[in-house]
Amino acid sequence: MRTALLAYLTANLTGTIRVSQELPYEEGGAALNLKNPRRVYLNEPTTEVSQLLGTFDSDILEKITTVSGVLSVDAKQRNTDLDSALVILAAAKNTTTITNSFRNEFDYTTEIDAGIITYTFEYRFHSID
Amino acid sequence: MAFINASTAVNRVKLFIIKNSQAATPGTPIEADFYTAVSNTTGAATLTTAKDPILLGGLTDITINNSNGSYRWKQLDQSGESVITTNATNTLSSNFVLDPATFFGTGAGGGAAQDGIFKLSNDRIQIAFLVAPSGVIDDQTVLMGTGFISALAPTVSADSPVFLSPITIEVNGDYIRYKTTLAT
Repeated sequence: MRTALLAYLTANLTGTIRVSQELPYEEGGAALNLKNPRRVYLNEPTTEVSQLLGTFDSDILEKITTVSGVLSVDAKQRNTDLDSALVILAAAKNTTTITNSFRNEFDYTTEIDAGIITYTFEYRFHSID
Repeated sequence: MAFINASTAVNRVKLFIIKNSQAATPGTPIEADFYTAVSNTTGAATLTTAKDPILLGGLTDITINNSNGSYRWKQLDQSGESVITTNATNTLSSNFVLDPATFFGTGAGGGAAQDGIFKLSNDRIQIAFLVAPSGVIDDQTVLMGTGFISALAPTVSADSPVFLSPITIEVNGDYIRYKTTLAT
């Protein structure tokens, strides 16, 4: 999932906001997204499996794969292509290379701190396991 | 208090279906028409290949109906009505998740598994069934009989992205109660 999202975002985010292939780890006590603003960082996927339908022999299971990500930009001087970048981030959930999910979700929250606005977003892909 | 345990791997509910015409004695199916052996350890049944049975998977619930009719009459010498039961309406109803192999069949012109549930219903083919409320391991009570498949209504929705369908077997005559003997 992360690979497919990275491929889509790399191909479509070509303005001032780009995608990093790195994971959002901390370097020297500072998160990479704060150190390198205007770069989208995607985390490793996590999965959660739950019962969708109980049957006598083998339950039908729903697998939710979650990919979280983060983007920090200057809050004082808003990037001109920030809105279109957010549209592209949202559209990435429907990338055609992710084919086995029956419901794709995307949402984000924002937080402003010390002149930096950070978008923390999450993709959720629901599939039959 | 004892109870029918249907929750363990070896005791899970099973429903076998063959064409009535393929039973050793049509109208009176026997255990060996559906499976030749069962493992008491795993509960898995070895199907009777020659009869081409369907072991219907993905059952979400099952209801065994044995609804007797009744005839009531009043007598002047009694304060309450008298009653006697009459012929029963027997049906077996369930809901199941559709598996394309068992629903649409694996071939054509053969037994039940080759025809599939839909064709058995659509062509109104008489079937023989074995329902095992607590699996088919040794010494379990099962019910057998013959009947016709009806009430198929496959449904899918955005919240339930697998096809689910009710199924009713309209039982022809009585249930045959039997204790399993083929498991080892």
